[in-house]
Amino acid sequence: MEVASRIPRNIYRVHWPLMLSAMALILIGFLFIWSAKSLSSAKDQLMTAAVGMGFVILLAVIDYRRLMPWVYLLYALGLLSLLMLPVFGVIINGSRRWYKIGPIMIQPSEFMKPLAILALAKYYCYRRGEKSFGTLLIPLGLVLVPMALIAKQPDLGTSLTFLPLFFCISYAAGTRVRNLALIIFLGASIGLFAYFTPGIMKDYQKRRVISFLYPDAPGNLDASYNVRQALVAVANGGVFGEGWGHGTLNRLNRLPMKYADFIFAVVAEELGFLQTSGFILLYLFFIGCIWRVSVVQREPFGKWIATGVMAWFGVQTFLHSAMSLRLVPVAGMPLPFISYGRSAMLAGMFALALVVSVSTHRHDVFSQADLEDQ
Amino acid sequence: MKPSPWQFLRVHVTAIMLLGLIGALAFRCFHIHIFKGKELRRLAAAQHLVKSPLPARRGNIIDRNGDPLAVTVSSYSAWADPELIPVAARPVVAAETAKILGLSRSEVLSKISKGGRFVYLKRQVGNLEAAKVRNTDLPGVFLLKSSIRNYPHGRLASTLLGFCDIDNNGLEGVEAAYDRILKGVDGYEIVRRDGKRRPFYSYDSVLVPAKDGSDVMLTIDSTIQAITEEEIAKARDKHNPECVMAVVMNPDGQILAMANLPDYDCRRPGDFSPDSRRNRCITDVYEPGSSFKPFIAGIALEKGIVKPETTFFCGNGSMTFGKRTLRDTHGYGVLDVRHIIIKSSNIGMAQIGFKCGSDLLHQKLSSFGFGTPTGVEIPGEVGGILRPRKVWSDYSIGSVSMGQEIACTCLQLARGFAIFASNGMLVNPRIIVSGRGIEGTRQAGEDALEGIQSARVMSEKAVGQIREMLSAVVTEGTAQQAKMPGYQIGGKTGTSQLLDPSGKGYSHSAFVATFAAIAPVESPALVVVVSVRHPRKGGYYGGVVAAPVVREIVWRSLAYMRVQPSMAAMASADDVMETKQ
Repeated sequence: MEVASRIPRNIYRVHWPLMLSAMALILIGFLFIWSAKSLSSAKDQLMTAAVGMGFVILLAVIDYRRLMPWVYLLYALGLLSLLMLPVFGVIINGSRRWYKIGPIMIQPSEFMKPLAILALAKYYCYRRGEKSFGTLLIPLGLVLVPMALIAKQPDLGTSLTFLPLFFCISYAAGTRVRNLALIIFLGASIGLFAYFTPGIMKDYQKRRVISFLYPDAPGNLDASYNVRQALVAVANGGVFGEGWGHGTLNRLNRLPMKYADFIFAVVAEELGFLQTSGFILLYLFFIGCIWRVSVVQREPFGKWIATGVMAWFGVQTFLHSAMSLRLVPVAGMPLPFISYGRSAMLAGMFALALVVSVSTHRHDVFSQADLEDQ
Repeated sequence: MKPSPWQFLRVHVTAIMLLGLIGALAFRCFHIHIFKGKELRRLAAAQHLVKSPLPARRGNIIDRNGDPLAVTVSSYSAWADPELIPVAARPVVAAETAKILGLSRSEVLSKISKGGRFVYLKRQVGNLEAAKVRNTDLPGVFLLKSSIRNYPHGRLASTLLGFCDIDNNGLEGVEAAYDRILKGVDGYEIVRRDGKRRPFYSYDSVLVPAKDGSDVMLTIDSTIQAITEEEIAKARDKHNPECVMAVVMNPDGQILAMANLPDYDCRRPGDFSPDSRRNRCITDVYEPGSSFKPFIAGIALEKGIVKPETTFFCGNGSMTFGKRTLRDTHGYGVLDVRHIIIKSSNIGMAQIGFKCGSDLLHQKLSSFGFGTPTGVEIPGEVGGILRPRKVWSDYSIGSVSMGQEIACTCLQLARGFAIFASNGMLVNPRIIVSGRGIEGTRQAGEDALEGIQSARVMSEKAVGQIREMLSAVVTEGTAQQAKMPGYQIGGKTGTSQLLDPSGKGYSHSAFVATFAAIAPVESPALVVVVSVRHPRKGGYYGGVVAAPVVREIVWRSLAYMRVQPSMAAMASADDVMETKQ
């Protein structure tokens, strides 16, 4: 089959609202990394996004279903890269999350997220509405294994991101709600057990939980420093914001890791309430586009991919912002397409590429050409 | 396998939940951006707006020629942030720091082992030590710019200058009196601090610069001060007294030197007892004794009650007034007023006093400034004792005439003798130069000038007669040890008994030896008063103990001041040299 001849048709089919809103987010990210870190970092991030755009174009042309035979292999490679971290990874700020290849740092846990989505999507592709609890163990294992490896780095925030992926895809794919509730109950029990059993959770993790629950208690002022600064930054924004590049707390470097874990606070400070609301609307629109892709897709693999990506972006957007707004405890988590970070950007672009591919090739299964191919 | 319709529903449910959560963020934003905004912004301001003081530099104290007596030298304070010193490294850091700063190791260690983020290790660290601290790169040990008060002449004029506390606030003496002028006004700056507490200058930083303190110029001449201190130190060594006080004054009231022994070191006042830090010339009163007689004689002469040649019978050393018998050291028969002064006859003086009457005496002595402070702007001045007229007893005229029942400070006595030096004008002693072009001191000088009412209190004729008598006291009277070649000096000795410690009358072994002088007599340039309290060896008469000190002070000071020696005095110089030998 002639791939080249399909390109014009696929360009027409590309989900442009999705693409444009993603590009708008990347541009906003560029501006705010510039403001919070530096112009060179912002350019850097833009270059990464351009490379990621390569994935998008490639997958817009190639049918995502061609990935299907490779899904478990890719997943296994991802796991392997996580497994090899303790051997080849470098330690930064006390955790071993990165490979260092020349000047480039690679964070395999970020890539594990789209790979887990692919694996779950493929698993649910052949099943519908499983009734028994036992059948949930395989998809649960698909997320628990990488979660355990990532939690060991340690990187609790990234690790916990996998749970919503599992729940959203499993729920959408028709798993019994009762079984999911049972898992939540068990998980909560284990969590409480881990919290109250000495030696399982790190002290700083416990402190974050306590400082979230009692932020203004005297003993917690140090631990809740980040959050208070973020909150003050948001408050500083007021209705109209302090203006891009003029955020007081941003300029004073009061927010640790503000270009990654707290970029929402910077955005909120410099844009103010009205524009931040617009910014949130843009995210809603972007995720709404993925929702649309998921809904109109009749082919299950693509449908669950889109659902998974939607869950990933949605949950991460919510959690990242909620941390700056003191709605959830702080556990470093990037804002998709905005926060500085090559791996997160590339992984996000890969997920976007998958959704674009799903949307572009949504009719192909019924097309005459495909039938003839088979 | 095609998805079933309820799976579509579940995708919707998932999506709506996610979008709902993200949409809820906007409400939270609204809450924080707008409702809690004010409170949190105030919190933020308190957190990153830091007001830091900009200390003003304390002004110098300089003498009449600009020679610095007290100066401010920049120095450092060494401090530590214990949190920045790793626990394991603390003993090493403490040892190193202690070595550089000259502290004990355990003291430093205990300081940096405490909590908190700021602890002074040592204040007033010199530049050399500071450089060492800087070069040694000790973690958590820092330097803060500060200043230190230094006195380049060491102990010179210490009791006059006073001292400062560690924050450079004047506590005594001139340092305290002119603290307002010397201190200046501290400024401050309000800057933002970034996350690492470094100052961050932005458009809304506030800077109120410090106004440095002004220099204060004193009337003191450091050379004359040094001469005076050297000479009284010699007297101390020779006579082992309780204390020595000396005032050297210009006839117009400017104090050229004011010295006390014991003294102290202004740089470490804590090492000395408060007794040593007192400026006794203004705080301690004593009965002037015979040195008071010229004032009584002056009153009588001015009012025409007596003439210099008026004679009195002096009872051959003993005479009874009412129930009281007065005695002279040597018995005299008939003496004229001039010789009563020269020989210092108590009996003759008492008769002059009785001729004047108590009302006139009291009124004139008050007008000479006795019994009230001179108003010199140094803290701690007392006014002496001149008892009110109505409590004077029958004995009072006799007592006051010979310098008893009346008490004054060394400065008051000098002010009194300045009447003879300034042709009968009462001057106000002052310590600050007025009208010199130094900002701040002009202000102070004007204040001082306003206080001056140099009033005529004695006629020129009477002054001339007294001067002649004073000069005769030196040439042929009780103060022959004050004679010097080249200058004719005039003065009056005084030897007063101190009160007995038991509280009953006068002591018979403790005296104050005083010599008050003006020099040269023909056109006075100096008024000098030296009082030696309770000399324990080498005699106790004013003419023996105090007069030689005055001689040396006057001789050296006049030479330093380039006062032309007089031909008349030169003529008798050979004489003097002989007596000296």
